[in-house]
Amino acid sequence: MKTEIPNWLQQKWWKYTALLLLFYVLLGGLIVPLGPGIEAVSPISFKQNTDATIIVHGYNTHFSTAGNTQVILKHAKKYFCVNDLMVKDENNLSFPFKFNPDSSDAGNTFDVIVNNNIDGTIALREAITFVRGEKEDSITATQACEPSVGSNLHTGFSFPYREILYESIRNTFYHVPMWFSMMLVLIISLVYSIKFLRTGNRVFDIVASESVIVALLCGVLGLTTGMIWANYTWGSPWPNDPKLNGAAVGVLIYVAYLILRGAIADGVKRARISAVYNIFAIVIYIMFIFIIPRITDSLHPGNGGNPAFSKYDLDSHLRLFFYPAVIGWVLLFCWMVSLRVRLKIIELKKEENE
Amino acid sequence: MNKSTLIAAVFTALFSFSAQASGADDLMRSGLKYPVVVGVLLCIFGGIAVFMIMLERRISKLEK
Repeated sequence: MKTEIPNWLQQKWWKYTALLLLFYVLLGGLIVPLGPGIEAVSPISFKQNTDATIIVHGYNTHFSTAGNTQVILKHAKKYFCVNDLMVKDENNLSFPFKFNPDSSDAGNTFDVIVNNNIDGTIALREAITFVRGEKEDSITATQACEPSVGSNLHTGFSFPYREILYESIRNTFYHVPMWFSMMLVLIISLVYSIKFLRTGNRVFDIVASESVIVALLCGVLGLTTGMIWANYTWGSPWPNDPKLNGAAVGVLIYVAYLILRGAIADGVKRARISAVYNIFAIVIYIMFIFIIPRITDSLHPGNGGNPAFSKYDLDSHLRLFFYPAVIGWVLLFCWMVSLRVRLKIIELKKEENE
Repeated sequence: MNKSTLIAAVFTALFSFSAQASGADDLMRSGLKYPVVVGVLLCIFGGIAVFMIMLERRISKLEK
């Protein structure tokens, strides 16, 4: 029986590259700060024609250092420039505001926009609601204006501040690469299953089955990181989402693969049946992960009509860590496959010698 | 240029990006808890890395 180990499993350079890449991602992903954003505005509602003092709470902002901080409120395609701005500290400012809507003003919410030369332009959509009342012609309301801002871009090196995600955006370096890795390791498994069916070489069956075990580890880690993220952003660790359910079914399909292997005593028969199962399994897996979530509503980006990672979610700073994370995790899991395969081959050789 | 020189050059460039990135005025990193969290995570990662390297060496020995 041929028991030569595939060449790529024994090379070392890509294994150490994986460690270096992951060290870079872990360290960089934790020390790069989140960009500036508006965390909250209070009060969240005020009555029409009353003097309201609005307080804006920023996150990682530079309201006092910047000096030229300006606040603009947007309502129904109209902009209202705030003049009497009181900057309390780097992250807090307040201003008086009075609003006297026309009958043509539809809706009852304001977007709050803050601009300065350090933070660029930051905004919180539908931050304030006003309660409609009687229109008064005599009051001095904040007037609509044509805003002009100095700079729209944040000057520092940071990750994008996204509503709902906030600091958890760093999970992009862990959750997403788990699924990339699972997919790649499953493709390796598929390739070696086909190779086994063509040649009957037992080593190919070992690579295919050990790849499935490592792919399952990726799947479990992907589900765990996803549940933690979902709990933080969507309010529940397992919302009724087709992608989540599909991923769980996908993982269970490969658990069934291992159970099938364990149920057949004869080595050659086990290898053949599991290789055929593996070919069908990946088709069903792709259907549950990539196709069904795209034809129904889903919370995940890129599914059910949701935009995938846009230039705002995955900006150039995030990409500097995201791509190395994907490469690093993929290589690390391939390394795990190589270790398991080599160990199995040693066991096989020992059995043959006995 | 051999492989190790190329890898070293790439990582020097990548680490210089992350070195530029640390923000002293960042809210999450203003306390002492955060460096401890980073330290613990780096220790865990270091442990996994050492374990993988040890396993690689042991299996290489067994193969020989």
